[in-house]
Amino acid sequence: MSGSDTTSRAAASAGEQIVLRVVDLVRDYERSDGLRLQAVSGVNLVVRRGETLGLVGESGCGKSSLGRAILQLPPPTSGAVFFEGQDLTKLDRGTLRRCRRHLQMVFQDPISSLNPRRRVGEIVAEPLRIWDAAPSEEIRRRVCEVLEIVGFSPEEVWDRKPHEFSGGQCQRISLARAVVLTPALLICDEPVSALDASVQAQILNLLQEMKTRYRLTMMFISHDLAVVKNVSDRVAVMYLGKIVETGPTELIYRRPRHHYTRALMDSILTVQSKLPEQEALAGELPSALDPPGGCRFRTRCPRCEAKCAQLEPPLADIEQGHAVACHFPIP
Amino acid sequence: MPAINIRGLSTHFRTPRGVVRAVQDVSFSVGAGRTLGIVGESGCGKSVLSRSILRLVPEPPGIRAGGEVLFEGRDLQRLDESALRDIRGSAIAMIFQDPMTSLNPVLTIGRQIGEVLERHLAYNRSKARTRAVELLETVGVQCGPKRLDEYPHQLSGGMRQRVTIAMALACRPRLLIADEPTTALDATVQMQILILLKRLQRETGMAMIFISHDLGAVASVADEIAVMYAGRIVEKAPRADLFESMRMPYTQALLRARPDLDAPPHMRLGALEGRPPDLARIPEGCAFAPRCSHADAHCRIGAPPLRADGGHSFACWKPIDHALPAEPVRANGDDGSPKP
Amino acid sequence: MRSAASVLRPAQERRRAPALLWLRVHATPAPVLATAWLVLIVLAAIAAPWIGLRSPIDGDLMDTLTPPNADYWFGTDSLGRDIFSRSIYGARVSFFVATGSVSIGLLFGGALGLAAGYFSGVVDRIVMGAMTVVLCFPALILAIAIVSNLGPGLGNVTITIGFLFVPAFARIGRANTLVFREREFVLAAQALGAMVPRILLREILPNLMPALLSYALVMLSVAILAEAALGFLGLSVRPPEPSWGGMVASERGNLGEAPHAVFIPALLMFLSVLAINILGERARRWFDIKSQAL
Repeated sequence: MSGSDTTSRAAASAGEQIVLRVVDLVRDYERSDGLRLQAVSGVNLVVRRGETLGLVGESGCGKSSLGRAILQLPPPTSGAVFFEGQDLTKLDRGTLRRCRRHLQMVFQDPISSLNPRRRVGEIVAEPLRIWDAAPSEEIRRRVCEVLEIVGFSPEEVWDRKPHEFSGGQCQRISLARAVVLTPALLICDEPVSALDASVQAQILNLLQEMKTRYRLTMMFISHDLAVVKNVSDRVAVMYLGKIVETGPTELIYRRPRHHYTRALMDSILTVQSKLPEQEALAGELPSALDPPGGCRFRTRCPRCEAKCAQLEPPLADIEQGHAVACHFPIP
Repeated sequence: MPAINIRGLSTHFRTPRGVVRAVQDVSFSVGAGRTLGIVGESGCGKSVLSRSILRLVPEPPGIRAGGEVLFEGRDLQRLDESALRDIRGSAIAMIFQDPMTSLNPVLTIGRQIGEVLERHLAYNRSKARTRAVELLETVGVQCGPKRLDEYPHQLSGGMRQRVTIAMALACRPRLLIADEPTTALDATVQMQILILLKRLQRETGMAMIFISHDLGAVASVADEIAVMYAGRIVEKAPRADLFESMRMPYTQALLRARPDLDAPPHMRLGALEGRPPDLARIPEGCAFAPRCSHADAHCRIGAPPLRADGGHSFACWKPIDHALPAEPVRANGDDGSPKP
Repeated sequence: MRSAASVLRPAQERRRAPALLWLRVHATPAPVLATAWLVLIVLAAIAAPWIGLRSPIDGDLMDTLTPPNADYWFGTDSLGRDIFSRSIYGARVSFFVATGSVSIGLLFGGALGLAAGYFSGVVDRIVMGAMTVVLCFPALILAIAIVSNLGPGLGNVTITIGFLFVPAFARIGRANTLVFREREFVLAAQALGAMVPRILLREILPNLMPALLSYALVMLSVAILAEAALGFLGLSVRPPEPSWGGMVASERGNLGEAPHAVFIPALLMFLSVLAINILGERARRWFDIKSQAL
């Protein structure tokens, strides 16, 4: 079953260190009133082995849709998703299914991510039951191991149900389920947004430990710039279905070049900063049903000129590894 | 004279698991034009506290377990229900986290703002409509008359929150209680709303109680900050004072848990282990002691009272001592902990 | 199935907890009495052939329409048959039809609802369209039509009533599937590459059971009443086999001189339906408590 699978993976990793390459991905939704809404409009991105790509943007920017489209849940409307060299959008169902064990996801809602009717042991063992014909004793041993790594005493939690746990603990269980198969790529969709600050820190630290231990490659989706900075090696900023800026974390945070990235950073409130007189970004996110022509950010951009309405700025390298989609980037 | 003065307020709940002490012996006052920020994690009782002020906690299971809420010479805890209804929404207004649930989904926003004006200020329909347009413009919702006929679901989250603010301000309240007003909003919209709230406060001179789990948001609007843990205020100080010389280890832990924007990626965060206590089973002694790196045996025996040191009060047996170069404080428990 | 049991061995102790909770919630007189009544009547019905009852079919024609006495606890009917014995044999019919038809409704309706909710689209339209058609007919008329076509008899009555239950169970199953299909644990299972049957049976179905089962409990009483109605019309078991509805029908001419022959089977039916409804209400509340805890 996994013969062709492993060879293709080996070939891919020998060729290049790119785990995931998303090409011109578009994701449409048809609303119940028949209108088509484009959540993701032509996204290109790359995730390299061992790195964490932070995908940051405000609600409605399409970051979650992008994450799910990569997993083919549901598949994108158009575009390609190369995972370990294979285009997931072109695979037949059986092959895609076999690829899934290498692609895992952690979701935002810790409670909703776990089946309330099943026990923790079963939940974490499920991936192994599906994919490994190992004897139960072996499965049990491996599940206990991963439960211990995420900070539980396996004997104590094995037979408990999700509602007996707090949000942070549920998120630990989700994480255990996601890594028990040591996936090649882990997509985390707002994994700490529903948690309190102190619990958030526990989970972020745990993610970091897991990343080292399992040599995980991650895509970390969040609206929280401070969290993204903590976990990511590279960052991609999304606005209204498009990536507007991407580059190494330190570089972007030190010197954002897109006006939207800059506004996002200026919106962060810290205990040191006093509330400014003027908001960092005025106005509202335009409707994805009818996005502005040209640059999508132009309706709220302080630097907008006539050119911005006519010509859509491409996402182009402004320096090595740092790309910006803006006609007039911040110098 | 403070706009509101709360003394020893306690709110409990009777539940099958026992008595939940959601708010325990909370005291503070807020002056006109001033903002008190209340910060704490979920389940620390901050929302119950905000609802207890206007007695919006359903009884039962809620129990008014003591204390007084003095507002303009009257104790709201002992006021009869009809007098209280006249205060709610007019002299004291509230805004909540989720504007979708605090707005009625089947009424237009014009109708909802109009109702407040008709109820408290006895406006007629047409006068109420004109005033509603003005109010919406004050909170930054443009093209008023058209907007009046829209329903809440037609607005974005930020716009809905602006509408609830317009409703809250309709009767020029002397006190605004904002319970996590920006938690459901994006960062850029959060900043818009906070700036709006501050501007409106400057213009009307109202007092404000701003409740949030987000230390950054609280710090940006509040003049004075109170930190809540397990139903009690554990530290309270003017904004600058609190962050420069915090005394309570919990406040420090809360601050350190947030990723620092200036720190490089992959920095290990100062995570606080464990989680807040169950309010039905608050541990004896200091409720924070089981998670506190400073705690010793003494902390587990008696609950520390909230002690004032100038304008800075804190409830801790082993406060962080800023006179000393390094922390944690001293290894010797006894001489490190001042007597109550 | 894989041998899950060995992995889950330590689960045994904890499984008892829900039963204790159940008892605690039920520790008020009405549900206790209801349970006692149902246990008593079901046990009697099951054991009827072996507990030394008189024949429910052969009567003593010298002893017709005797009121209840020490000999005939419930009296006799117009053919001198022992009403006590007939009532218990009638309970056999009632409970067999009730459990049988509800099982049919639960099984087929639940499966159809699950499929319609999960696959949506064409499957959903076909299944729910068919259910709507069934619901368009007045249930009793449809039941009479089907039974008269198939011919009276225990099996046919059970199948007919079960068939009529399918749409309601399908709707409940579908509505709940729609809710749970959107939950992230289903997405997580899909992301794991779990096969569709596995997702349906292990992720979604267990979450539908509370709603389906508490509805099934209520439907038991509806089934008892439906069987009685058909029995009254002579469309249930063939006489002289006793059924509660048939007993009421055949003795209703003698209401004046021997009311017990009509009222005793009616009372038994009333008590059974009441008991089931009390428990159904309790179960619904209990499931609500549990779903709140989730």
